[in-house]
Amino acid sequence: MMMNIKSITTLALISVACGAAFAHGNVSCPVVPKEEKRPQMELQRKLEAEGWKVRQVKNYNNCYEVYGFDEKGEKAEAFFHPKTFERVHPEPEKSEK
Amino acid sequence: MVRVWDGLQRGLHWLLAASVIAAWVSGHWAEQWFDEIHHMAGYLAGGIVLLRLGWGGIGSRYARLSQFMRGPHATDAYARQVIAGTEPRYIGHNPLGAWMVLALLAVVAALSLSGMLYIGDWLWGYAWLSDLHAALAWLILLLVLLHIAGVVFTSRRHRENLVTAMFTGRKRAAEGDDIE
Repeated sequence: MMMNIKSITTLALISVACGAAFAHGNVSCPVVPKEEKRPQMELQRKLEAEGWKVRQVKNYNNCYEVYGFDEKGEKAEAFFHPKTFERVHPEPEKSEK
Repeated sequence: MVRVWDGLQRGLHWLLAASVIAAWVSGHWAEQWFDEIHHMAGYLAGGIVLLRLGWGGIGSRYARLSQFMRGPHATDAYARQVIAGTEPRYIGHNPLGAWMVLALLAVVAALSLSGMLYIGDWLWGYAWLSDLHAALAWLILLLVLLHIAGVVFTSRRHRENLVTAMFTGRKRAAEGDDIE
């Protein structure tokens, strides 16, 4: 019984230390000085003008991470360079969504 | 020893425990197998909750919700007895354990549902939904720890190993003030 508790607690603690969930491969963008970053809202407007439906924009490893539907209407979780708005793709060997 | 927990109830209990652990671990690690493990664990856990609720209506005696669910007054009275160290031993779930069963099932159901909604088209990508799902994940961790603490506490108090009982289905027969 004590083993049970210990192993469950250990699992829980290790999990916590590993941070939050993400359903994509490794992705990161180069560090850009704050004043050179373009606002998230600008990216959202640009994507929406291209036919995207944007539901969430947040920071992820210096990238802007966008959740929504792309111009084809397909579910998308996409990453963009915060200055150039170039799309950044996660490493292909991991499962991509 | 008497037979208390039936086979389906025990199977569902451990399968649910396994799927919650798998979902928790895959949710905080392993992006590589995220869809396979986390999604499957979520569907499995949701299905188990439905089965358990159904079994709670038609299952064997101690599997039935009507056998162990008590109202707030009885539960409060039991809690006071626990604090005073005078609570009787229950053959089935005690009133606090019963509410824990219900709370665990409810939160797992909410986790499963919010996860399914998040990956469906309708609510895909909304930050509030993933925040809710994450908050529920912390809540289930808290409940599981409380559940384990309650099991350990009650096992010590009544000198019987309730973890073993959940494997074998058997418990010491009722005697004295025990409640059947």
